[in-house]
Amino acid sequence: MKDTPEKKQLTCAAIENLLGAYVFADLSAADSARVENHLEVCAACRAEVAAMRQVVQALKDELAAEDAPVLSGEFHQRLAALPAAPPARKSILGLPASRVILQVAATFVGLAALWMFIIPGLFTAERHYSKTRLDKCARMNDDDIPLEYNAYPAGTFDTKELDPEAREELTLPAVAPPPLTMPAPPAAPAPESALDFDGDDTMETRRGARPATEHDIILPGLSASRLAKSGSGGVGKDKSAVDFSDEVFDQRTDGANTVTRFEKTKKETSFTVLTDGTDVNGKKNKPAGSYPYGGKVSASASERGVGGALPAPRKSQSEEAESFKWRDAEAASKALRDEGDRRKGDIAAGPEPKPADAAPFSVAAATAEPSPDVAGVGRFRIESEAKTRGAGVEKTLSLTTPLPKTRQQEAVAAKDSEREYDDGEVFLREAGSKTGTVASGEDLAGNNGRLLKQAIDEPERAKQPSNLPPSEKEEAQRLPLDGLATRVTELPAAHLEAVQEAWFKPLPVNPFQLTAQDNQSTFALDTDTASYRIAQNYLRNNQLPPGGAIRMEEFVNAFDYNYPRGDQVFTIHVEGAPSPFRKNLTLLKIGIQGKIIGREARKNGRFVFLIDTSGSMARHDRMPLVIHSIELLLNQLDERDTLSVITYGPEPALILDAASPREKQRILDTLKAIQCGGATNLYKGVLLAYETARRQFQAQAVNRIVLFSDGATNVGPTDAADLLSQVSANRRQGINFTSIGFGLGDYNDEILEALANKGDGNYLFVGTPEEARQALVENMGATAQHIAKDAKIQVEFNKDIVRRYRLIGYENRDIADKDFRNDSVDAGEVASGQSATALYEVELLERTDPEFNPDLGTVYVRYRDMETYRIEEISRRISPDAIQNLTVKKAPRFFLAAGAAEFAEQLRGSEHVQGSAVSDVRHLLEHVAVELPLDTGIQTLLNDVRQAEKLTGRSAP
Amino acid sequence: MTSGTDDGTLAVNNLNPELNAPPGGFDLVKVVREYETPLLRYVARLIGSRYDEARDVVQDVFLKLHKHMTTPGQADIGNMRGWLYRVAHNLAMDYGRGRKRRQTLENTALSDPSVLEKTRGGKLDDARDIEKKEAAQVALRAVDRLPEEQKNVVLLKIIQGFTLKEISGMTGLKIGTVNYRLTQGLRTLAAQLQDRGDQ
Repeated sequence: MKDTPEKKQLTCAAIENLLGAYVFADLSAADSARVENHLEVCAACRAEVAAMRQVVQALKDELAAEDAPVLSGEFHQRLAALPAAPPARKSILGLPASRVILQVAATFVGLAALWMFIIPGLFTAERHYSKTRLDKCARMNDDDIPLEYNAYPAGTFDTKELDPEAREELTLPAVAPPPLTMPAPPAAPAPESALDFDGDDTMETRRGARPATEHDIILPGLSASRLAKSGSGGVGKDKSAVDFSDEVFDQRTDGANTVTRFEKTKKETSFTVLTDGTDVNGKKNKPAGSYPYGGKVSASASERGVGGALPAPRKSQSEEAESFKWRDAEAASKALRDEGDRRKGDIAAGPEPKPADAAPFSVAAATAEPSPDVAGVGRFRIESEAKTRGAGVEKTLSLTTPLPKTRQQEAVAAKDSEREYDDGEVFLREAGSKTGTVASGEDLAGNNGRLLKQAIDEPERAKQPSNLPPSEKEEAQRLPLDGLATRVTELPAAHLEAVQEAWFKPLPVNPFQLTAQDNQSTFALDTDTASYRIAQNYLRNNQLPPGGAIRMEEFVNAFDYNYPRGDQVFTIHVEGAPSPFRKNLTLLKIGIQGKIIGREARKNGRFVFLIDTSGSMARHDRMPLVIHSIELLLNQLDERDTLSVITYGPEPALILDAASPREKQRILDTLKAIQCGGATNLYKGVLLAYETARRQFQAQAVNRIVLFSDGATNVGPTDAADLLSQVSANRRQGINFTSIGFGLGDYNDEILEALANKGDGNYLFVGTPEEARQALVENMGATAQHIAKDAKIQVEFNKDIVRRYRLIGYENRDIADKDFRNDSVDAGEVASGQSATALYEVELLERTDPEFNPDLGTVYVRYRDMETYRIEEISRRISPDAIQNLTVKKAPRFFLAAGAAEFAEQLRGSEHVQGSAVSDVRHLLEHVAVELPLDTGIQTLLNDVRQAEKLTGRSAP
Repeated sequence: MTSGTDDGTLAVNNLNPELNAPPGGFDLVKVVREYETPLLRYVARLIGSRYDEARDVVQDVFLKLHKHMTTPGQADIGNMRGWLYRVAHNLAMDYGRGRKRRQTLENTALSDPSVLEKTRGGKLDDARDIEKKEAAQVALRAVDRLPEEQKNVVLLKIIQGFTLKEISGMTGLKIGTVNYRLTQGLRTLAAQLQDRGDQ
């Protein structure tokens, strides 16, 4: 052990000058790997790198926070005026001219004197020469003014030409409304909200409305909420305005994933290294909108008369959106008329419906049409229909009553009912009919326009940006269920508090979003599962959880979907199938799987601990530390692992055989009883260890021997060679060997190091309890370490294929579309091996042309890699093949996700699941559980669903 | 984009041809807008002064650029930002040499947190931000105190994100030297930040 610190020192010296570049991720792969290898074993250098990163981040933050310094306005004007000045002559008459003339004159006189008096003979001959020289001198003395600007034809100087694309970008901001680049002018929102009032949620209104939206939302009434309509999906999608805060420096394609690496630069300095590899001046690809002077650029551009060049296309977009709507409305109304006879209700008039009146429709609408093309699903749906037609109807109803609306909305509604009715009809046809959700069914069933309005208002309100905390009053009125509300007030005080806390930030469920209006959906990754655990607690106490405590994504993420892991930080998995709960909708499951960091994946562990019991090990910094280390490690292990312990003195002894880490006390007691003393025989110990490891060997698991020793071994050279060959052979079998040295060294640790080297393991040294923690807990890869932070997803749907989409859950993780590439936005952290799953309900457009089979869209994931501290972005196309007619048998985990999400939405009281009943979920999950009998989580979920079913039955009126 | 934009561009040219760079030329205004902020930061840090002095230097940089571009026979600027930073560095050094003593005085003044607070005009948000802010201020002050050659490399990295290779090309140093100076600089900064934390 003696020379280990020295060795470490040596390596430190070798790499220490690389650390700076390493922090900036500016090393060659080989150097980078060298540094990383060293960092793995050297805590001091690790700390140093961390400190450097901290300081770099602090500086960057500071630069980002300060007001961008700029040159004075006068200077800008002066510069702008420069090229406009006519060449040489005129500028001499300008202000600095006298100086120039004087200098020129002085030079001239000087030179003339020289030539005349010193070399007079050459005077005549030199005339031409002198003239050229003089010209040159004049130029040299002129600091400010070009003598001959514009005197040269285009192309004389090899400067980079502005290509047409760049020119476009330059002129582009002229047509963008000022809020993009400037603080929102107070006048801007007014006309736009008026526009939006028509439901004409066009590109330009959203762009323009963005800054105003945040303030306008809190106003009551439809227009305001309309304005905020696209909030959930993010408002603007003017990617160009944010794209270029980064410098793209690497892009490669790996299978279906395109990986783009970014190095973050200052936002204000965004420029150059362009994605297509062109160059230099940042002219190309550089949108004027992201200049620090974006506002100015656009302003000056409009002064030049470009402004208003683009309204025409925008207009047509809005018209398109409008016609889109009406087309659907036509179809929808037809569908509704067809069903009209079966329904008692009438759109226009009717008494205030009692929930029971509406129920048959909701059930009928949702269950009358099984999906015949998906055998398993179809059968299941028919069954569920039968059940819900029976006694289950009212149970369903208790979960599907539309949310009560706020007084404000009622007031506004009353004022402008005719108008809203029109709007509402459009919306209902829009949102309700095609899906067959009960929102429309119920409303149309028999109402006087009030429910109708609710259906309008609710989705509208749901589109408010999620970062806006709604008033408490509104919250109180937003209890998902009437019945639930009364139940909740009966809860004991402690529960009530918890409930209130949980309700503090409930956000409206994400609405459907038309891709024609906003085809990007952006949110932060979330791997939490707390909401599910909370709900479980409620259910086990015979209570339905409050809707506000339900976050759908946390239900979905509570289960393992067994995504394959890649070498990259994240891998994206996309899977889709017709929704098992709603006709005409496709459920899209997007899984983001984080890689496992550490030496190997956190798999099951088969550990064999080989403990040296020589006399020297009895010292306080040896055996007690060994026991302490193992204790720490035990905390990191769980029932997936087993632990065997072999002690070796003159003869090896297996004192624990495949003990479960759960038997912690027994293990520790056994360890504490170890007596140290006498000679040791490492050779025999290692042989027994391998024998034990082979016996317990499990493929796909971590099979590892860990040697705890102070290195005082008496192994002869022959034995050593034999030992090493043993280790090599077993490593190839998948058993590796880690050595942990104890006791500050008066011994030779060569053999320990050689064993670890050959055994594909680590050689670690432990001198203090803290080092023990580092060595065992951090380096054994047993703990959760973050692999990425600020991870965001953006799904961009293809407007030609996807008509509308709805993100299930992630309401409180919403990020504005424009902020996807804003790396200062806080987003989700993901630990080693974690995954996040997002479900979308999408409606696909009918394919008219069979040849036309493009992608459904693209999933982008952007994050900061915690290893390199670099921003990276990966993407994956959602190919049409991703959507298949899956069955529970084929893809049980897909339906597990669907069931978990649906269950959560039902508990939440989401308006989107009014057609489905808890029993539907139960049916589905029963099938899933059959396919995945070993996943106890599914059994638990199934029990929870059953419990909820019982409770909703009891609570039904 | 649509043809509307092309029309718009044409309209600009037709309306006011003088405002536009020559067809084959570069757009000085655009370059200025793009680089003024980073260059100002760079120069200000380099000469350890506030922005008013840096402004003079950066203005000179752009005037030089303009001159370069309008002077026939000048070598082509292959790497615009490299050129700008190199010239900015040289001018800043010239400038700094001319007023070395004053600079020292100002440095002292700058190290005074109260002055610093005013010059930065930072907005104080919450406790954590203040903490962060403090760290950043300490780091910035530490940057001011770095030896010239280290400071230059660190600034080029942090402000403009140049690669080692680019910095090497710009300064004429070997990559290893750049790396060494960067590491040393960061090490010093980190140590100073750490010291503050320990106090």
